[in-house]
Amino acid sequence: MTTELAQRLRLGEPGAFTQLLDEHGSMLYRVARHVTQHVQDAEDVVQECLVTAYARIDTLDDPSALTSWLRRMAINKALLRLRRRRREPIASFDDGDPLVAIGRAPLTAARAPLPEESVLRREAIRTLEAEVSRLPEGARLVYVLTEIEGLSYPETAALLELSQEAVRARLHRARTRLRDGLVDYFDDRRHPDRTDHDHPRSGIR
Amino acid sequence: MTTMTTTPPTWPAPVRRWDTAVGVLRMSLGSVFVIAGVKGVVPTLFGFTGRDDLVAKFTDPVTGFLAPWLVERVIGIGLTVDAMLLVLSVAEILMGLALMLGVTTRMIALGMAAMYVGFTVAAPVAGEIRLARDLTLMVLSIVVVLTGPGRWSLDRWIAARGTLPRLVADADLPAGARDRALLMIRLGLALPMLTSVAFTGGVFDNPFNTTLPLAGVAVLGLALVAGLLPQAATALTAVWMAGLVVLNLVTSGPFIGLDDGKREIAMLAAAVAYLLAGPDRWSLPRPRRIRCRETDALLVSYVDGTLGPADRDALEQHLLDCRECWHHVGTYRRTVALGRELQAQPMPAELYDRLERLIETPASHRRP
Repeated sequence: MTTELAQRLRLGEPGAFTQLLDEHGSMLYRVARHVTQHVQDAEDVVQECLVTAYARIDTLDDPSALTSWLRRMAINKALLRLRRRRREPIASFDDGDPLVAIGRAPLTAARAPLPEESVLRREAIRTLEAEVSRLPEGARLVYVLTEIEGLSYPETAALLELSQEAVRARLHRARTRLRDGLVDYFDDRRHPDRTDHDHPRSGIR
Repeated sequence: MTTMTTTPPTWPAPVRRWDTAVGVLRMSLGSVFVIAGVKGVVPTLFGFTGRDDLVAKFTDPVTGFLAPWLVERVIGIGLTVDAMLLVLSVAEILMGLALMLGVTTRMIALGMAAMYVGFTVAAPVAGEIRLARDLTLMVLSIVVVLTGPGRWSLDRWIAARGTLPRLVADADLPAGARDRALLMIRLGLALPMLTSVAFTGGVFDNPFNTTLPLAGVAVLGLALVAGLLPQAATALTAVWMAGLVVLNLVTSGPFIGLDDGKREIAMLAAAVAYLLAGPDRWSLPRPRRIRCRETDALLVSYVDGTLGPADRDALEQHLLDCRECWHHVGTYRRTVALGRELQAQPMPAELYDRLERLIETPASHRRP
């Protein structure tokens, strides 16, 4: 499927670019958003990626690697912005909403509520989003790539120039911190998923 | 990366194996009673010419199971030995069936243990070997008293509906009790081996000292007592017992064969149960036991499904014994599952619209 899309982009077929946006736009935004922790930067990164993909599709040797090519592009561009932003650490508040300006607005804000999803679970996902943005950078990058984007440890290690052991250690650190942030959710007595009563030796139920 | 469900498996492998082990033990002990009971009710099936023949065999002063003093007492209170055997046999069948079904398991097993003591006391001079083997069955019955009925039992089925008191069907078995039950199994298996090596010839001859070299039996028995490589020792025991059972069936036919080999059936089951649920804490080399502070280091691999089977078993066993770690791992898993849901987050609609407009503008007007 991605092979086909890569071919269409290369041939400059009409509609191929819209297809690229539809199929990969959300992934690009997610990566950019989680890495930069900044709404404006993330949007710019997505735009840049689309433009670069359009202009440089010829440099993609293996058409089946389109997804990882785009992802790597998004990560690199996002990291560049993150580093640049860090050199000018005072956030601009020109967006009006300071939360948005400093990139703390949860991703889920833009998401239409799904009725079948329990309210608690949605809350938990929002809490998790907020906790992800509070992770230290090293742990956050690893977490975003492995857990959210589903990259393998070797892939993540190569992208971030880390050892696989370091990737695993950071992933574990990230999960542990996020878990601590979700404790209220897990201990919520209203929640059917809570873990304190499901021990197989909790007696006869 | 492996996909993962939101809820952890409720019955990890160690629980399943433990429940199977308990079930196997329970079924075999029940079947020993049923076989013995059927023999007492329908002796002709088992090669006896009739009830008189059965009574004569049981009351033989040298090889019979009933001591002369006991026979005198029975007759003294106005009963016949035949009637006593019949009542006893019917009781054995009922108790055996109850244990096999796993109903009021602990009570039945306790009763059986007491009866095995009675059998050994009632047995006359030939008792040494029978004493050891029936004492093994007593030990195994006590093991069932300790373990309770396990999952595959009527007790558990009834208790799930909340009508039996906890005493009767308590599923809760902490690590210490599990280790003690396993220790009792291997000591129980060693007992007839060691006594059969110590007493040989004449009335002492039995399958334990006539089928394998005595030195080998002694080594096996001592290994079981010391807990040296208990998995290997119980595996050998299981093979040996299975061989004896098959030998009995082949040489004596189904009924006599089953009756002659019924204790070996129980010991085979006990060895298999140990293989499934062992090794115990006191065995050598010391089995891997996970401590709370080791749990954390294994979590990434555990959640990925890449943890080796030995470590996974040890970890799951620890989780069963430690509610804190169970909770820790459970919330960790749920965090992972929630995190993977973030993947489904779409980009904001305004951004999509803006990018779509950008695409539609001619390339020459595009800002890079």
